[in-house]
Amino acid sequence: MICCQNLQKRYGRTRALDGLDLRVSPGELHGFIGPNGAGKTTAMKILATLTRPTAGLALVDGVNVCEQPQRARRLIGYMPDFFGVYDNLKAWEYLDLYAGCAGLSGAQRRARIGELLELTGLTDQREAMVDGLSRGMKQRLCLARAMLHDPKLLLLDEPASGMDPRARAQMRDILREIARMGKTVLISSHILPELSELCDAMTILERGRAVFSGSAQEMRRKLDGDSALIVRFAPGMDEETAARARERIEAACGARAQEGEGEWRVSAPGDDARDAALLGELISLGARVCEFKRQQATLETVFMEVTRDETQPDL
Amino acid sequence: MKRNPIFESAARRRMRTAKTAVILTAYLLSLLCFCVSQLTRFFGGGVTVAAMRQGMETYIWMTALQFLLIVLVAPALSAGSIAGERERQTFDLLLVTGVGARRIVLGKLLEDFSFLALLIVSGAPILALTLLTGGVTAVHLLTTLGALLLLALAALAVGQLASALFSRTLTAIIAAYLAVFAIGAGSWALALRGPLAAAYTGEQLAALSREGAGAALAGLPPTIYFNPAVALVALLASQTGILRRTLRETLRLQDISTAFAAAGYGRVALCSLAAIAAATLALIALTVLILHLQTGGKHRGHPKA
Ligand SMILES: Nc1ncnc2c1ncn2[C@@H]1O[C@H](COP(=O)(O)OP(=O)(O)O)[C@@H](O)[C@H]1O
Ligand SMILES: [Mg+2]
Repeated sequence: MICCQNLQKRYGRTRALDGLDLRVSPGELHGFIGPNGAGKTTAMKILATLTRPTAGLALVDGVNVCEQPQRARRLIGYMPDFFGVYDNLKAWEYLDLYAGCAGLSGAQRRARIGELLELTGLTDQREAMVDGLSRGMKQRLCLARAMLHDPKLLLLDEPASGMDPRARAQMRDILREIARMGKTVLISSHILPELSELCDAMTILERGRAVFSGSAQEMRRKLDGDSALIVRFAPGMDEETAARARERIEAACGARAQEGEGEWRVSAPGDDARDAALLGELISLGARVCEFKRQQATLETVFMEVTRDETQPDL
Repeated sequence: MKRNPIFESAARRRMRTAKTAVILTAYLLSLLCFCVSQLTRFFGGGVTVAAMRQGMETYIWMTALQFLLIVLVAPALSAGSIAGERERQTFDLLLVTGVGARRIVLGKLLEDFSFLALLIVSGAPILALTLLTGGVTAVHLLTTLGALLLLALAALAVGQLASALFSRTLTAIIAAYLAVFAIGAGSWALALRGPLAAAYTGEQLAALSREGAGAALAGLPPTIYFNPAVALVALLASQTGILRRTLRETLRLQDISTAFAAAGYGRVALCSLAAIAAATLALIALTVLILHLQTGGKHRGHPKA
């Protein structure tokens, strides 16, 4: 659905994009993650036909966005990171304006506006003035606006920024619903957990380049070496048992156990069969195991990991 | 013609604000007060020759007032149209709908024009009070109204071009006023002493006027036709004898008034209005083209292979 090759954008001497490669398959909910200033907005603006790249290729559903912007605009729904609304305009009139601009006829517009207000949970705000809506509502209205012409691809630039947790959850539900409708979505954020459960795949951007691209599982797998086994014992275990338990654990995992607050943590790749055998051994030793779990590297730590090499020189 | 959603939405928003009602009321009230205070003789003593003359003078003054309104309001009004969308961060949202530059320009222009037209046309019944004194006819009034509407559109087109060129509203407004002023002063100055007017002397004009109206029209320096004030003055002078004498005796524009008289005031007005209409269309087309180049096919900035 999206294919960017060696995309470059320079603003004077700033390289906002420095050879970005990005591939998004049809029907995918694709996270576009990177710290502030990484170039997410720039890439999205190029895809939305609003900025022209300095060099490189950007295709949306096979359409070159630089050469056929009008055709591309019909395929794309774009929600910018910052946008304004008009005053003295009701929510439905706001949508009606953009629907008219997109060339929808009167009857189509009415039906579509009703559906989208429903989808974004704004049916009650139909007659409310847009400039009086809360930030979260404005964001949802803007999302509805992006979907008026039923685009195949949605480009959402930090749709949840500046929202409270409740509004974020609401936005997530809407995005899930949109994904179920079979739309392809590229959604950017500088906060990784926001997208971690939501996305099928993600691209991590750092200084205008993709430093990782793949499915969420692939990313976890890539960094599985970082996952840890956590074993906690009930208090009152004698020292001899404890020493033997430690010996067993370290032998099984092939790494040193770190002790802290009554629990031991061993960094080791996951292996369910080995873990099960180890647990059996510990219990037969008489160790009073009360917790035995594997902790996945959270995506937040993954993110730090993936971008670590790039961010070090700055420090 | 297809309905223009940008026009409809903007018109709806405009009519929803109290500001619009206040502006309209204040404008009409001041026009009415001015008119009634001028027509003292008519309201004092009925239809006399003196009252008739006063009626015609009032008609000229009120047309001048409406012209002043246009020159002062129109550039600022349309200078905000596109620059304002950019500033308010709503412009990108319009563009990504795929609505073309032409519909944006026409929609915005039509909306600003309909507001100005509302002011001008609602002032017409007050102007029509001068019909009571005699001397001014309904045809005069309607022709002047049409000319004022055209001049309003022309001034708006200048402002909108500035709006497409500059991304800040304030810059666009300043540029629009400067441009309107430059067009007025420039076309006049070029006509009087520019290279175009080198051959423009009293004797030659007298000779031209002997050759007939067509030669006199062609003999006038061409830039003068693009001056909106000239268009209006020639029109009013063709309607009322008063203004012809004012031009000749009070303002001492001997040469001009000789030339105008030779060509016929009405014909000068017509040529001038036609020239302004053509220039307005050209300006609108230019604005569409510029906006299209900025947004539609080719963007700003030069991509290197
Ligand atoms: N219009 C612009 N003019 C100059 N520099 C810009 C412009 N837009 C973005 N940049 C620069 O490009 C880089 C990438 O910005 P952006 O794409 O907004 O990043 P992100 O959305 O990931 O935070 C930043 O260094 C920013 O300062
Ligand atoms: Mg951004």
